[in-house]
Amino acid sequence: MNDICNPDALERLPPPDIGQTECHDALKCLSCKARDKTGLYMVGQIITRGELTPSVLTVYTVYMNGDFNWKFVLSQTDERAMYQQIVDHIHQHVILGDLAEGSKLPSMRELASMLKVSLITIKRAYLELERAGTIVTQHGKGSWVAGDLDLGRLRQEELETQVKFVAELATEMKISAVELTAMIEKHLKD
Amino acid sequence: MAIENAIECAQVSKQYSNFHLDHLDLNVPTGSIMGFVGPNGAGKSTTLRIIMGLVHQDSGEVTVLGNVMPDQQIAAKWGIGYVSEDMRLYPGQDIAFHMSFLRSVYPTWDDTYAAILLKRFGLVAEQKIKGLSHGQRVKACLLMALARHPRLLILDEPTTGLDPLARQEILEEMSAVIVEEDRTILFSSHNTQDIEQLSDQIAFIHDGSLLFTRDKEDLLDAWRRIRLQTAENFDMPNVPGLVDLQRNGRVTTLVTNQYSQDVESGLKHESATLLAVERMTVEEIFLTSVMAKKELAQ
Repeated sequence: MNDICNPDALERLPPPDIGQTECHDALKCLSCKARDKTGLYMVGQIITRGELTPSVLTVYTVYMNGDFNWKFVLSQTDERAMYQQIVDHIHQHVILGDLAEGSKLPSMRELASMLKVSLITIKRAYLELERAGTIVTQHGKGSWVAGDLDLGRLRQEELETQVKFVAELATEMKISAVELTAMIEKHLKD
Repeated sequence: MAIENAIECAQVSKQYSNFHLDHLDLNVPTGSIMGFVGPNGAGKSTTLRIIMGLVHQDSGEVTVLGNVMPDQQIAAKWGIGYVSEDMRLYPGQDIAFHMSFLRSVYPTWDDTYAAILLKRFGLVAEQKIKGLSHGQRVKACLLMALARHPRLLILDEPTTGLDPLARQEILEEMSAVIVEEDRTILFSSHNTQDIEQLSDQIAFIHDGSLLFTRDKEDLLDAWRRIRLQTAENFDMPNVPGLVDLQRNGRVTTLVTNQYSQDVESGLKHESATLLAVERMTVEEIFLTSVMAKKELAQ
């Protein structure tokens, strides 16, 4: 990803072919444009042939103050609602520390415009994040990542969810605890 | 001062020999994007033309940017940018000619923005209109509407007949508009994917009447397609908001427009297994609504 982090290096590449589904190709900045207010660049677009209309999977990277901060992958064919995809992305980046506690988020209108989704979708996403305590919104002023997050607990919870999923899968596949632990240890070493 | 609704239509009717628009109520809040969905001949263009004052309603009230239509249409049109398929440019003239004409009419014309749009749309000012492809012509029309920063954009099928890339370019410029709070877009399309992506509100029109208008997220949240495997003689419990029910042997597919967790728990039964609960696209919701309305009429 590093070669596309420098906005000056971004240039417009020819459109992808319909049917092209390779993710890594799309990451070579298809139609990057510097936005004036906050720096969000669309780094790629994958166009697949849908049943009626081609569906577009768009990969976005958000830069703030020139630094790579977070990446969005939004898909109209994802089974999650569009707002849920945005909630999950922001939540993930908060947990991973890409978005520091107390840092300011783009305004709803800015993010809607940058991601090319409707304002109501972003409003809903921010509302859900506020309900979950991940962000704080002050009417008329903007939204921030909450300053009093228990990151340790959030990370623990996230990891538990993933481990639980793996454990369930292993049980279904009749893989023993010893085998599973060995597998995890192997990956930890790598 | 900001007006609450950029567009207000109350009980608007229009009778043609083979079509009639039936008591249409439609409000478009200032600062929002409304997508107008309906098949060909449903009344989308007629409605948009009435809002523009190009066609006069037989009855009902239409207010656009605070101006009563069609009487105050001259005042209203300063603030509206309108793009439709049947817009005619002078074929023998180039894009620059049209731009300088508009510059002479509209004090809000923005040369810098026009130049940026030309570049983004891959157009050249010296291109003659008759040499433009369909997509280029749509983009030229949109450029002319956008470059004067209208408070209200009315776009009749802006993405029809365009390739995916051109479509995306147009959606991109539309979404750039909403960064400003007091600007409003009403656009019609039979490409429901575009509507789903950009709209805050969705209005469904069919056969000259408005089926409903809803907040997009609420709409998508309320509709679900549920598949169940049941015993042959399974007695289907009452499902709230049931719109469609198809039984095919042991598999039952139903559609509800009042989905909640309670719907799922209501279906829990010893002789029924929940196979899937699926979200639906705007297109599927529209088609199911139309089918349900037709069945009701029969």
